[in-house]
Amino acid sequence: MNKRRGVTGLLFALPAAVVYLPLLAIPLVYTFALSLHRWDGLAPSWRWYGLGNYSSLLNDRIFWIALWHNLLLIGVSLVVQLPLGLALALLLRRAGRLTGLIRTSIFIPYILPTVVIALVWRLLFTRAVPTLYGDAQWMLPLVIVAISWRFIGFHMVLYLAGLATIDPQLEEAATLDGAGHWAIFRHITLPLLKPVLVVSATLAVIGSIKYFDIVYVMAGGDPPQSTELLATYMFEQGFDARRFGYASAIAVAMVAAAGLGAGIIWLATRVRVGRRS
Amino acid sequence: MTILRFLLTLCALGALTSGCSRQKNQGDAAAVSIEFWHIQTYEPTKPIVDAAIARAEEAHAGLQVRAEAIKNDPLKTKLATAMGAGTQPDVFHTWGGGGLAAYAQYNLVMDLSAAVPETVARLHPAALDFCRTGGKLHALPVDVSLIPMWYNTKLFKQAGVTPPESIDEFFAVCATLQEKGIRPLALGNAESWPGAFYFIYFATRFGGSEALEANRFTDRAFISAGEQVQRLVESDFFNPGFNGFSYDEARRLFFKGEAAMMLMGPWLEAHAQEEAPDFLPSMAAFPFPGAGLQADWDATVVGGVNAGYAISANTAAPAECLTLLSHLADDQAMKEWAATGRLPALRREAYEALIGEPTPLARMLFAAPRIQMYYDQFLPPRLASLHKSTTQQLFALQLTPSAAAKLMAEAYLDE
Repeated sequence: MNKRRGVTGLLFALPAAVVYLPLLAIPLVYTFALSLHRWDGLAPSWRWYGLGNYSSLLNDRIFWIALWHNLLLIGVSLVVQLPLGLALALLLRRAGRLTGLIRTSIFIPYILPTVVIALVWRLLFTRAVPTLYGDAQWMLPLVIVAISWRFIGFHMVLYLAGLATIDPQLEEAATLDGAGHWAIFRHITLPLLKPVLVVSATLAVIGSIKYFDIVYVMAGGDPPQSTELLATYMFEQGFDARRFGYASAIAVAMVAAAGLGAGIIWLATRVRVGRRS
Repeated sequence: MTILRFLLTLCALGALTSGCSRQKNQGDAAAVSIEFWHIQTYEPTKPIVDAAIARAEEAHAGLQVRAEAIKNDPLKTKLATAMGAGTQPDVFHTWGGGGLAAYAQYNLVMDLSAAVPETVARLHPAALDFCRTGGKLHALPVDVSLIPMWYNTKLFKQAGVTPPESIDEFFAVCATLQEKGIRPLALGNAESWPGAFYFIYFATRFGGSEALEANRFTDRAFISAGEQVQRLVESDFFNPGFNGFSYDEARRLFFKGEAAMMLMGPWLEAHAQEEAPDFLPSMAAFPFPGAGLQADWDATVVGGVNAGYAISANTAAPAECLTLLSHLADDQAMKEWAATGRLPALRREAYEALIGEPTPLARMLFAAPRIQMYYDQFLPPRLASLHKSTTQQLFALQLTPSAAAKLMAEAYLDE
C-alpha cells in the first residue's frame, strides 16, 4: 500500500520534475564546470584552470569580507526580522477593526518592486542622514534596515498562517488551568508553530546568502566593500571584470554556503525532535 | 496510462510552442531593419541621435533603425552578455579603448579603416587613436570629452580666490574656501569613475602615462597620486557621504551652489542646461592644475571618447549600418553636439569650418600635446574594474596607495 502510494506520488511529481530539473541541473553543472576554467565571456573556448579560481578565492580579502557581510545579514534576519515578525503576528492575530489594515500595511513592502524600495530608502537616507549615507561604517546597517523593512511583513504573514492552524481550544484549556500568557506562548503556541519557524528560518538563511537586489540598487557594493555581498561581488567579477570562471567559483561557494546553512537548521530540528520522542 | 498520455501531450505542447516562437522576421523584402544600442537617454543629446537616425532612414529607402537608449553601466553589461551570446546589435555605442579592443580581439567588430574615408578624415587624431586596435579602426568617435575642473564663479568671487595653476595652489584655494564656510569639492563616487578622474589627473602630472603604457603599475606616479587623493579626503574638502553619493546627487550640490568645484566632463554642462539653466552663467572651467615636474605631463588632458559608434562584424546589413554611422557623424550631428556644450570629435580645421570659434573646451583639446584616456576605458576589463575598485578604496581610506598599486600589478601578472 505504502509502496504504491510512493510510486503514484513520484509519478505526480514527474511532470514538474521534467520541467524543473533541467532548468536547475543544467545551469548548476555549467556553473561548476565554468568555475574550473578561465573565460572572459567572449573567447570561443574556456581555458582550463583546475582549482585555480578556488585557491584565488581563498586568498581574496574581498571574498571573505563579502562572506562576513552575508553572515551578518543571516544574523540580523534570525535575531531581528523573525522575532519582530512573530511579535507582530501575535499582536495582530485576533481580527479587529484596525488589524486588517495594519497587517496589510506591514505586508505591502514585500510585494512592492525591490527597485522602488531601494530607491525610496536611498532617497530617504541621502536626505535624512547624508553624513551617514556613504560612510563605510554605516552603509551596511542602513541597507539592512531597508532589507528588514521589506521582509518582516513576509515572516509575519507566515506566522499568522501558522497561528491560524492552532486550535483555540488548546489555549482556552490552558487558561482555565491557570496558565499565564507567557506559559501559553512558551508551552503551546511556540511548539505548535515550530514547523513554520523552521520554514521561515530556512528561507531567511538561504535568502540572506543569495541576497542581491536592494544592496545592488541602494549601494552597488559601495562605498568599497562596505556593503559587498557574495552576490554583488559575483556580479562585479563576472560582468564588470569579465572573469566568468572566477564569478562561477563565487557562485559555487554560495551554493555550498546555502546548503550548509539549510543543513544546520535541518540537523538542529532533527536533534530536538529526536530528544523528545 | 492516463498519466503517460498526459505527459506525452505535455511534451508535444512544449515542442509546438518552442517551434512557433522562432517564426518571426516577416515583412516586405525591401525593408532592412537594424538594431542600434546607444546611451543618449536624456535631453539634450537624445534628440541628436534620434535626428541622425531619421536622416539615415530618409537617405536609405526601406531602412528601419530599431534604436534602444540604455544608461551607461547597464549598456556595458548588456552588450558584454550579448557579445558572448552572439546576439549583439548591428550598431552600438562604444567608448573605445580596452573594452572595444576586447571585442576586436575576437573579430566581433567591423574594421572601419577604409569604410567611410571622408568622415574619418575630419575626425580628431587622438579620438581616432582611442578607437584603434592593432592599427585598425573599429569605431567612429563622435563626441570626445576632456575633464576640466568646473567652478562656481560667484563662490570663487565671494571667497576671493582665482583658478589655481599648480597643485599647491589648488590645495590652498580649497583651504581658503573651506575657511569661508564653502564646501570646496562636489563628488559623487558611488559609480567610482568620478573619483578616478582625480587619481588619473594626479598620476598623469607625476608621469603616469608612460608608466601605464609600460604596464608599470607600482610606479611612483601611481603611489603619489594615491597620496594626493587621500590628502584631499583627509582635508575634508569633499561633500560628506561622497562615496555613497551618485553623480546625479553630487551635481545637484554643485548646481545649488553647495560646493565650489566639480571635476567632471563636458556633459556636466549639458546636464546644467536641462536641470539648472539659471546656474549656467556662474559656471566656468579651468584645466586641472600642474605639478611643475615636466611641461608635457602638466599639459596632458584627461579625457576619452564619450560617444563612438561601432558595427558588429556579424551584421547582415553592413551597408545600412555604415549609412547610419555616417549620419551619426555628419555635419548636422556635429553641430548639434557642439550646441549642447559637448565636444565634437573634430580636428581643428574641421571644427572651425563647421562650428566656428573654438569654445574654451575645444581650445583645451586643440592645445593638448597629449590626451590621457580614462584608465577604466584604456585598460582591459579586469584591470579596469580593479582600478575603479582600488581607487574607490583609496578615497574611502581603506587601502594605502602602495597596497592599491600592488593589487594592480598582481592582477596584471595574473592575466
